[in-house]
Amino acid sequence: MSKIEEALNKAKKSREKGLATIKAINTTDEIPSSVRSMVSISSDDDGIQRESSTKEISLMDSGDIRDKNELAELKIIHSEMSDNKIANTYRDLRTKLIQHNPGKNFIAMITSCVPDNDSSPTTLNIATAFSFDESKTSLLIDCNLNNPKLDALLNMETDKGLTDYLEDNSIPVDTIMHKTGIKRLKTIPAGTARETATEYFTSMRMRQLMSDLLTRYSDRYIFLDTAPINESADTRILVELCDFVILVVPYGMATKSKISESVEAIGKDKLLGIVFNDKPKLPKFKLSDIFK
Amino acid sequence: MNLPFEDLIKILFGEVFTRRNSVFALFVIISITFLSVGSVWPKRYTSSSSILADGSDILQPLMEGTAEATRISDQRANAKEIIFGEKIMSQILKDAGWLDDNPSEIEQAQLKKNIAGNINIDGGKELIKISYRDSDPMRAYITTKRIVELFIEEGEKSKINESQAAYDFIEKQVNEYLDKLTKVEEQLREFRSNNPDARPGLEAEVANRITRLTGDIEKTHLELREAMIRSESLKKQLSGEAAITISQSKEGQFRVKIADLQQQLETLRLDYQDTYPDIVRLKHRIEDLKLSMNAEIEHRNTAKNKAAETGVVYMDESILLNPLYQVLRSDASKSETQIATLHARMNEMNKMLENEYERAKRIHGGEASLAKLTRNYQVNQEIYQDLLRRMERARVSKNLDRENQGLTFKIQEPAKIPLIPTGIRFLHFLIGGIFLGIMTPIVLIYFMIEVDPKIRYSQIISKDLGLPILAEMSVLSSQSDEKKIKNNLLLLGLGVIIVFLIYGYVSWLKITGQL
Repeated sequence: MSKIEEALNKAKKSREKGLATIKAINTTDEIPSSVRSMVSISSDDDGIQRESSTKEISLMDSGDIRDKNELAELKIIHSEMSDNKIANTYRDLRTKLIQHNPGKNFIAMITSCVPDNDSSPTTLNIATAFSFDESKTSLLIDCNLNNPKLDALLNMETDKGLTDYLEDNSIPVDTIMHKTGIKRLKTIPAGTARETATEYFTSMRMRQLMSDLLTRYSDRYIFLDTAPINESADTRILVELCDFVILVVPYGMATKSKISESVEAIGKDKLLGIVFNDKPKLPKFKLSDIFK
Repeated sequence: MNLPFEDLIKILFGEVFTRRNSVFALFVIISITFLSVGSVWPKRYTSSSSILADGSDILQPLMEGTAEATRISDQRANAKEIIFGEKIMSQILKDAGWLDDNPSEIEQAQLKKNIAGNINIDGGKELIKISYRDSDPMRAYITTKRIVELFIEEGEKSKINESQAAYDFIEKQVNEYLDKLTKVEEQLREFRSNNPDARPGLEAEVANRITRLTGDIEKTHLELREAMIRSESLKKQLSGEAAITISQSKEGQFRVKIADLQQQLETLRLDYQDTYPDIVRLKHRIEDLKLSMNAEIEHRNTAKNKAAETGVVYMDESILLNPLYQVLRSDASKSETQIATLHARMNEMNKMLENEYERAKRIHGGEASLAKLTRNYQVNQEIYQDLLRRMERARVSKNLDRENQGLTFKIQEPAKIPLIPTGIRFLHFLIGGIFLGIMTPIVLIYFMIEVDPKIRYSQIISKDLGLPILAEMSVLSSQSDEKKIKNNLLLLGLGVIIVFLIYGYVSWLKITGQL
């Protein structure tokens, strides 16, 4: 992260300390989505208070921090990448998303339009890009219950996850949130209990969870990793729970009609835009590299 | 898909990189295939020779205007006909050394077929280019040389034959026409001796004469009629009526005298008595006169009656002695003579006319046959003379051909021993193999991009579908991935180097002649 960015973040942090309380009240009233409408009801019932999160974020325990080599091996972007271009692309995307919802956190769903292609690495990297910013934290929820990918991508094993939470009312939210080894990035894995997924996502508890997560911290950005939209009914249900959808179109795999189908399934008003992914990259070798 | 060129190139390179293993495999397959085909591809040497052929044949100018001979319009087809003929092909098989291994009949036939397949005959109206392709340059040279020699030889032979045939033909024609001419001449002479007066224009002359005779006859006829009418009228005048008239005039004289005497008597009576002698004499005289007058009347009546009865006019002397009568008589006899003359002339002329008619009839047939004979004679004579001239020319041409060989066929460019092989050579295969090895996969990928409806270019989403593009991400590769790619690329590079080494090795073998 550049020095200017650090400076900006510092300034932002100090400003937000003062503004946070007012903002928290304002946001709850304005949010039009179904999840947001529940916030006012639920927040009183559960007694969850929205606080200025910055302090907590800075204090947040991220577990053992992974070093850059490990991240590079896992194909996760990091701030010291050799190929800066990709990291910068994700940063730009992050800026666009923030600009789309200025001053508010959001629930973003990321899905692919091609059945065989999964958008999980992209989702992970978008979430990671948000976590670059010291004033923001991101939460990645693996909603692809049939075929969860996140654990594998992050190379970790988790016990309790989303399904466990939705099954068992006694489990608190904290137990299903896992540290990732990346600063300011947490995940909720799919979980161990596997039954018909559709029922989980239509449940009241799911809605409750979403609104809780959204309203807990004003700087927490939530990303739902889902199965490809045309493949799974879950994903279509989840469209309702999120603020907007990012459609991942992999290079050379989707036809126009496939994209149109997906866009129709999502609905134009929910679709924020397209991420054109997996473009082939010509390697840049130096002559000296060959003889290493 | 209509992509901007720059993006197309980017996508193309991206795809080529993604499919680098297949591209490499295709490259190896194509280049090695070309190399192996090229290394066993036989070298071909072509030797060629051009012949200038005088396209005109002999019979044609000789027979110009009289007869139309078939011409050799296509020298190339003609040359093919001659060269691919059994005679020349067998000779070539022998001369070029194909028969050294004593091939069987079937093998020989196959060899001939192969040689014929390698012979290329090209040419226009006058220039014929003969080329022969073989793996052995020396054999290519010998074969081409022999083909040309044999072809010219054969061509000369046929030329001589042709001129001889032309001469023979014309000679035959000349004899034929000579016969005809003699025959017609004989006929003409015979006709002339049979019809001595037969000469052109005779018919017209006869017709002329007939017309003249007819005219004369008519004229004579008129004259005759005229003479006859005159004679008739003269005869009438000389007939009885004339006599009567004269007789009446005699009676009148008597009457006048009587009347005179009567007057004298009357006058005397005034003074004298009837007995006066003068009176009595007068009376007697009157009496006599009356008697004479009566006698005259009587005489006349008798003559009249007689004339009515017999037609013979009685002429008494007085009448006969009348000078008028004399004149009339002379006239009448003159016209009698004229009539007789005219009659004679008429008869003569009729006879002549008949003669002329007879002659005209005879002449009419004679002249037609004479015209026919003359015409035949003239035509035959013309053709005969013409043919005679042509025969002399044919004789000259024939001698020319016999003595001046090689006049119609001239070797423009002799066959040479080819030094550089022609056609597709090893070098072409080398270049083609590498070029196609590189280009084929690229072109295939290009077509795949063009045809495949899957989206490889983000602008299509934003332009055609109207959806906003948030970001375009390249493939994110881990270090181990990159290492894998690097190793893979090194391997492919090594593969390419090996392919080039194989190329180099095979080329070296080829150059040193070991392959």
